Amino acid sequence: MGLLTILKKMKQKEKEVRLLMLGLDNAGKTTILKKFNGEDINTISPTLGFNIKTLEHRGFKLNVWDVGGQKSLRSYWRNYYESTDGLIWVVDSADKRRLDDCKKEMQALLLEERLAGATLLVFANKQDLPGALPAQQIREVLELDNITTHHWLIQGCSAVTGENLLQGMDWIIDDISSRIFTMD
Amino acid sequence: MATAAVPEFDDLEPMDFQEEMLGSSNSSIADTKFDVTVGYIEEIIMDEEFQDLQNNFLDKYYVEFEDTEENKFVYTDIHKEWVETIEKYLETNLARKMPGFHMQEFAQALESRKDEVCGEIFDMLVSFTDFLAFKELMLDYRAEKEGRSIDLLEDLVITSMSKPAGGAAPAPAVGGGSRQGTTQPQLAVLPAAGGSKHSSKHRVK
Repeated sequence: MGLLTILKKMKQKEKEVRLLMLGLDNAGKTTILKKFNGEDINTISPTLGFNIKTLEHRGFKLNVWDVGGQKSLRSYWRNYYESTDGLIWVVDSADKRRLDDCKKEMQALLLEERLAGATLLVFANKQDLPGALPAQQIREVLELDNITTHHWLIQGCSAVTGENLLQGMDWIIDDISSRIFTMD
Repeated sequence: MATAAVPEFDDLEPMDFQEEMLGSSNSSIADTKFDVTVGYIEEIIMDEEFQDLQNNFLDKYYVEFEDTEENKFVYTDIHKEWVETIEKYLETNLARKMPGFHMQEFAQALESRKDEVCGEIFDMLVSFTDFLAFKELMLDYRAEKEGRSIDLLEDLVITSMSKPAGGAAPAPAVGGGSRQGTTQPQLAVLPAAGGSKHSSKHRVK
């Protein structure tokens, strides 16, 4: 670790949280990010790189990193693992065909050493769509109950309506802060 | 660890050493060495050569940066290189000023002084690691390069860097009035630190 990185870690402000949002393409990551931030969500196109937003929420400074999910982009994900406090895995609950792919990618992430300390929030997104699987079923398909290495929660939500986004975010912040900030 | 407790002073400039000793009779030898190192870091960063290094870097890569909300993956690589370049430059120049200098040893000294690591110089060093600040720096640089090439010639005379403390007024760098570019670290932060060579010697009682 170089000098600047060491300094950065030392001077990291209290109540500053880094969240990394990943998932297959078209899962709704960018839409969640923008909706949560109160932005217009009508003109979002597939993310080919990454977005960063710094949000203030409940006195926390959230640095949210949203990285494109297309297959060809997934090899870049690893460049964003460092210092992640919380991983938000976004699932298109209506895309049953790719749930298996979704599970594989998520499980691979959970093996990543640099994400070992991260809290996992699974957003079962697109609950507003008629064909969407409920969160409970996504939970089974993804075999979340087998996860012993990370704190996790699955939250059904809709990025379009905004339903349950806040609940998910609140949970992940609570979990992270109970792990990190109470140690002071 | 052991080496940190037994610093070698042969390699420090006698003048600096004495200045330190006069001002800090309570400080341990390790504290003094730490403060001297921080003083050198300030010197290195205030030097014109460091400004050149930054400008060369910006010149090399600014065309990659576009003023869109979404970021390209290559930005991450470039930012990483930016941080590494600056770290390497600091290390090389510290070793030149302090033969026998070891960055790891200094890093350990830093970590044992968590509560004292404050002041402009550390804020500035940390700011180099901020991705969004870096992107803005690149975009400002690009805007000036492409949008106002005549202005640019004036802007790039960042004289305040090379003339710290009471030299030529830093006005030219800020003179444009409406210019956004003044948020660039080399325009705003460095001149502000100009001449405050001893500002971080907070340990001196």
